[in-house]
Amino acid sequence: MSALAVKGLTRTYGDLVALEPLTLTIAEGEAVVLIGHNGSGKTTMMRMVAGLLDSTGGDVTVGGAAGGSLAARAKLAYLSDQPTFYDDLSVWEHLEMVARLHGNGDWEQQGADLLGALGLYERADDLPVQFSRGLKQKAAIAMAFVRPFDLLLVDEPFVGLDATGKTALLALLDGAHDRGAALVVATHELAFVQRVSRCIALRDGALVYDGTTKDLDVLALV
Amino acid sequence: MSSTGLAALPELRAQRRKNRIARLDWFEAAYRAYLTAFVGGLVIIWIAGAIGGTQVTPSELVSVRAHGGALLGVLAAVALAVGLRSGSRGGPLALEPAEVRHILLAPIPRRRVLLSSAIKVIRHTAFGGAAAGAAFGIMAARRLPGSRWSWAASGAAFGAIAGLTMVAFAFLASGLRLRRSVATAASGVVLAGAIADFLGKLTWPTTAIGSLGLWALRIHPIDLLSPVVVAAVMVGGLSLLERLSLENAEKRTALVGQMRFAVTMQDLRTVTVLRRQLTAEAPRRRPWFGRRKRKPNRRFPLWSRSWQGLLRTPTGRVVRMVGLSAIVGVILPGIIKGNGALVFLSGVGSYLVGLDIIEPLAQAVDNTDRTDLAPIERGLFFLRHLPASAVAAVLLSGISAAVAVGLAATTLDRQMVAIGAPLVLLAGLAGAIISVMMGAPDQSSGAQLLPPEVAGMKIAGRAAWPFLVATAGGLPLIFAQRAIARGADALASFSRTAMWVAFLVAFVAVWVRHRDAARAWWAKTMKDSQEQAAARKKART
Repeated sequence: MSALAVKGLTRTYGDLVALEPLTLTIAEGEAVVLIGHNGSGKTTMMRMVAGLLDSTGGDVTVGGAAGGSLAARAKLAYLSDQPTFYDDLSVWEHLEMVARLHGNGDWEQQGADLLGALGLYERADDLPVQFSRGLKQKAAIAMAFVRPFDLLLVDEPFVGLDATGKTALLALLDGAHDRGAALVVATHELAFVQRVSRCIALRDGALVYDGTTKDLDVLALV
Repeated sequence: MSSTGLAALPELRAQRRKNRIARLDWFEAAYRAYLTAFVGGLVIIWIAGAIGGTQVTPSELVSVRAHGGALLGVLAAVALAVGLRSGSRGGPLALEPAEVRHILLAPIPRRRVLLSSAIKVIRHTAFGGAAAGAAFGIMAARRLPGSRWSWAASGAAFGAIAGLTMVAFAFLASGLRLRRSVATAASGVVLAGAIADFLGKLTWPTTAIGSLGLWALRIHPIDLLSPVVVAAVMVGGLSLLERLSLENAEKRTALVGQMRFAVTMQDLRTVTVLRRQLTAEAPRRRPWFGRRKRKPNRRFPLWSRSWQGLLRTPTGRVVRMVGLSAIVGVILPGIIKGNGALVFLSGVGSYLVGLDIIEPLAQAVDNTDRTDLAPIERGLFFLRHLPASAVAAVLLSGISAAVAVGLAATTLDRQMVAIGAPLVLLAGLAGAIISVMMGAPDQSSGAQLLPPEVAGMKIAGRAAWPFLVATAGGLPLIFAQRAIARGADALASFSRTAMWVAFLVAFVAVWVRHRDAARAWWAKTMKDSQEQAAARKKART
């Protein structure tokens, strides 16, 4: 069974095509990098797969379950490029909420480890809405990893992160991959491309490359 | 191990409630409640004064019995239409962005998550509608036969059901994922039917809701069907909560929050911009015509820039401007007939048109950095944005004039409304210019030191000023009507007042040009006088 299957997924805004009909499959445990210039359709695709954006056409299946269904939501974690927090919850309370809503009752140790790895443990009782861009990103990363998932969608994860944060995130991504989760990472950090085996490139909403990263001329695609 | 999934939700929500209460500023909350009561009291006193206290005549009572239900039915239809349009954009719920991202994406049934928010909206709307309806009912009791309590009860019933109609149809439209165009078309049909019922052309269901408001006068048991139908629609809508579009919900959550903040700040421009975003009223990607000029307009670049913006006005806004211009045209003959109060309606219509066609100037005001970097004085920069909007206002006034001429009774009336229409639209534009240029009220510490009553009056005056200028456009018609009533030369009276209105519109343009200089002069004068006073005081001591 595939971790993600997208068939004819498309999105238009009036006569503007944000994503042309896209068909692809991502196997369980596969790590994929999604590249493309600004406005190429990466975020549009990810948000549609996550269920945050209505598609104009096509189907999404997450681990065999229809996109947006309860089963799909249980399997899919989405780390957005624009972190969102409650005004009145601390980092720790956010972690508790996300973990418990996703069925992780034993989350405390995992939460503490995540915050420690991201250098955020001392700020656990602070309100993330008052954080800087980088700290918000770290809190969002902790929230994405504190819950169980089979497929992780990550959109521009390195934006605003310091060296500690980047290192911690790479380690977390590797760890999730080692545990058998499939990863789709959309990024402009071309160095990341060589860390995974498959690359998908979009240009102006159309798929222009889907293949191995070995000997890939990334610059030609972006 | 703590509970998980849906079972954890009540506990987590309780935690949030606890946090909110712990961080609540009670003094601030009490102050807000005081201000709300103060403003609410003022509004009720004003409405009570407008309604008056004398009993209606027997013929007026017959008219209320015959048409009152249908008139209130139009209000119910408006509520229904608002609900349909809101539902097509993800309403009526306005969740927190984090609620969408973290709870609605969690593997727990969305209907169960949303039901508590939905019930809260239903409860607030029903209570608010009932309170407003009861207040109006009590005021109506001063002029209509029947006890105060019976009017309060029937007013409350109407208000609550009208409010619930809005919410029920919003939930239904949201659950059905009704397209915006379909919702708009359905709203148009509902409104047209209700107006046709008011005019006696047909019988329309929303009149049954309106008729509930007259139960203090007479009882129609058939009206009781309307709450049953509304309840059925509500149940249908709530059963579809699971189908809420997260895209619409997320868009709505962000914009509604900002819009509420803008409203509290009395920032009309921000409210306008956010409302456009909420209704997805984006400028056209391609202009209506004149796509690309080979030669740039070197002599009048801001004239070109203004037209480039105006020609990207989206279809919905064009329809609204044309519709409002036509409504202004319908109103103008009524002013000449002697209904002077209609001048406020024409003022509202022209002001709303003005707010749409002043967009190029509004963009210049919004993008202050870009404006200040231009190698041209600010006042002149703003002024040069006005001619294109003025031309657009005059073009739209052609629609008002055509409608008004068609409805006017005499040749003299036709002449006056034809000349008056451009003035009305230009005065509306002038009001909009003032509104856009003034921006949001000053929230500096000095302004906040004013007592709430004084600050409230200052804010009210500030908000009323653009509207009063917009309303001035209809004054020539009022003066003409008065001249007719006393047998004087109506055209002469009209012309004299029209000149003053034209002068007022021109003055607004001059104000735009010299506003910065005038403010600088005023600030310098104030500073100088303060320094002189300080020097005198020092000399005395």
